[in-house]
Amino acid sequence: MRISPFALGCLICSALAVGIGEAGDVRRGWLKVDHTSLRDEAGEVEIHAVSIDEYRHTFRLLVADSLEFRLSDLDKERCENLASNSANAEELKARCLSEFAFANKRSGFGSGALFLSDYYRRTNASLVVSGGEMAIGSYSIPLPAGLVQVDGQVLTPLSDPSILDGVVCLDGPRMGIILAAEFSEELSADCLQTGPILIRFQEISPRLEAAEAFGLYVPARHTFVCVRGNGIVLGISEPVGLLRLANLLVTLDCDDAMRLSSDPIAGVYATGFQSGNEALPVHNAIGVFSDADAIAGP
Amino acid sequence: MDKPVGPKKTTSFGDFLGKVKEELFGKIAAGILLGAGAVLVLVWGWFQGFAGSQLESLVIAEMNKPDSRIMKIIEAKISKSVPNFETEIGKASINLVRAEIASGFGDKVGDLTAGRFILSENSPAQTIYLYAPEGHKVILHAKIRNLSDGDRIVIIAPNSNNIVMANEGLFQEDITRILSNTPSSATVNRVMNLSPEQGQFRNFYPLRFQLSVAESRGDASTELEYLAVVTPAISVLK
Repeated sequence: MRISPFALGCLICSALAVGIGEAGDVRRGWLKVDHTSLRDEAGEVEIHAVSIDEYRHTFRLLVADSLEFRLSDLDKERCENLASNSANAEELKARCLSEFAFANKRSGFGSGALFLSDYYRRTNASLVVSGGEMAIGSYSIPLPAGLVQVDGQVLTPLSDPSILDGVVCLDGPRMGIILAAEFSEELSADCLQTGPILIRFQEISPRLEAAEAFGLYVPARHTFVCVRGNGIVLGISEPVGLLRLANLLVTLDCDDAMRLSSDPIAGVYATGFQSGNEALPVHNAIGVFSDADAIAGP
Repeated sequence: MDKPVGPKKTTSFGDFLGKVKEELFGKIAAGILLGAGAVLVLVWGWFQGFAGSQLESLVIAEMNKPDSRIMKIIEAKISKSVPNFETEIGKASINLVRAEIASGFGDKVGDLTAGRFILSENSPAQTIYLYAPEGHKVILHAKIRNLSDGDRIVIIAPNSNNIVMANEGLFQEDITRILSNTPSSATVNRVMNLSPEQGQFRNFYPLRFQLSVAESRGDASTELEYLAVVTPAISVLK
């Protein structure tokens, strides 16, 4: 069999690419970001999006204030060593970690918000998307503007549903959008309040048209979630108005869709892809984990 | 015998010499006055410059010296184990630094806030508090050590305005602009364990320094020493 030099070159390049990918990040899953131009009467808008198979991935709300981001490697190592010879190692380790976290917080350590790339680097997430609004005038110290709930525990309460009208809830392999007005704290999932809802039951939210008429939504990059019959789409748009974004997302067959964040904090970070200027740190991000690599926290 | 009548050479010469002397004396006097005036103007100008525009560069030059008096005071008086300057030790040290600088610069300097902290991946953010009344200017002098290529420290004001510090070494910037359009009071109960009502201070700004690393470096850390000089904008600055 004769192999052309071109084919041989491609083969070597592919092998190198796979090798580098594996050597650089062995445990991290990989998600392909598609770059699609969606078209309407006004022209084309580029969307960078990932279609996620729910059976092979899990979702988790990443919170900068949580234990996993408040502890140093040294703290974790100390607690490992302390608990290693004990009969109830897990319990002792958990107590040790929580005490270190408490002490760190008292000392003024801990962040309250991380840059999106930090969420990506410090977890095994295949992809992270910025989500949630920051309270006005709160970037220092950063505070979320709406509900943040992790494992059923409310970290910050629900804010006015007429302003942030949606809540995205993540529960292992499932993700769904509910109205903020219908949110119940009995849900044991990770939930994040943001908005506005773009599409509800395959219909564009009527609030968008009214808001657009008042000039509330200026063109900007937006991150969004789209829930559809065959999985979840997470992505970021190039600068576009929200009503137009909703119209474009209808073409992706979204049953429900919601904006997660906008400039200056809109961003998506994955292996080989980064969008957003990372001008500011964010309090929350949504992490997508390849099933085998999903981390359980400290 | 009468002496011949004619021009008295000696007298004329004397007159000439007298005139020359008079003119010379006048010129010398004028020169001295002119010179003194010029020196006065120069000294006054230099003094004005010193008190005004040179203040910033003097402070940063002082910080940059290997045996910097300011840095020595900061380093000597502040325990390295105290990451946050809002402590009794910190306040006492700030007072010492203020007294030292005030002795050199007179009353041209307003409030001073100084300190040192370490940022790392595990503790990437630190918030400092600045008291900056309306009409005042805030100049931030900072010395950054161990900041790798691609890493940056972002200074974030409450209104999300921000400034990026991307290089090691000395940093000097007028940060008044990032404090504008911010709420005029800040709640500091998270730091000082005060109730929200007790913790409200007008013209008190929390300023957040956050490290963003390009690549993970384990436990490597970036050190930042800072001196924020709040000055009355009218009398001191350009």
